[in-house]
Amino acid sequence: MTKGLIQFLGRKVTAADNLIDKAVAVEDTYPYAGKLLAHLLPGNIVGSRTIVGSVWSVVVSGASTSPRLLRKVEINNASGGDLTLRLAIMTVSGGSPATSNAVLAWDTTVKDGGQWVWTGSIPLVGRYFYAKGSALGMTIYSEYQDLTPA
Amino acid sequence: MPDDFPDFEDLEFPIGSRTVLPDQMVLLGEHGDIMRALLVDADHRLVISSVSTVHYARLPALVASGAAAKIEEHPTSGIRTVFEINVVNVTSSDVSLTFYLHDDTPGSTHVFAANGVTVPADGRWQWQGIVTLETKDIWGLAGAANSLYAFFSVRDEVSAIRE
Repeated sequence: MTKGLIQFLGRKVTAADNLIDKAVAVEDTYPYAGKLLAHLLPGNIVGSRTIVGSVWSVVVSGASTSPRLLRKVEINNASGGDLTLRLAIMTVSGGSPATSNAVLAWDTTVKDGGQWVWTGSIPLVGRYFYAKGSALGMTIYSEYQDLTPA
Repeated sequence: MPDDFPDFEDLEFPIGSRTVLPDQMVLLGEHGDIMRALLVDADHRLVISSVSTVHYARLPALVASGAAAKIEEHPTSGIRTVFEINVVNVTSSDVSLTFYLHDDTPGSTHVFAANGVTVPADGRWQWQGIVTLETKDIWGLAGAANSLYAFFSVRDEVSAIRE
């Protein structure tokens, strides 16, 4: 969009690493003045559901170059019996978290047909968020937001 | 036209005036209720400096028992903000929890966020808010050994250009 003799362009990098120039909006308020509107996009918020295994598995991770903010964890138990839940954070993938890695839940009972929910903000910066159940039968829904790396 | 004005809505121009580029132009950005000048560089490019929140990496930390111990320390320079604390009880018994905010060994007058709260067996406790650490540290005290692990969510506030 142009205003008078001025055109504002913003440069955008596409997924294919191509550079394209995109017009930046100018609110055409007055002939001598206006507002430059450059929209800044916050990090995507992503939600996903998976099965909580009876062995440790990584649910969400955030690299130091692409950190994430864990915002919500929801556990549902449809196993037909009460189960317990363990959650942990470690610096490595493929590990077996110990008690010292515990976060949010440790041997926490999720009743049959019940739900366990946490909401908050946990930065995952070079970190792996793990989940494990006492047996198969629970699902985990997690939400995270992409963050700007330091 | 005045050189200074509180907002764009206070500007008045004749309808239908021809667009004319001035010899000099001041570009303004609004931050809070304050209008600030933006930079136009020597090549007549608009320079908008931005700063975003930096989140710090943390791991679960054991809350000390017997005597309070530092659990989240202030940075060597600058300010950091703790905006959430999540505590999990890894034992099958209820455990009490106290946090302190102080720059030296804390006492009862330095209690912060949790004052002997009970973290239920196999349960959790959460605090959300804003506490800035510049000279003071957060100290923790659990009612039983090897029972409580705390995860601190820490970030820089978006308030200044970082070096």
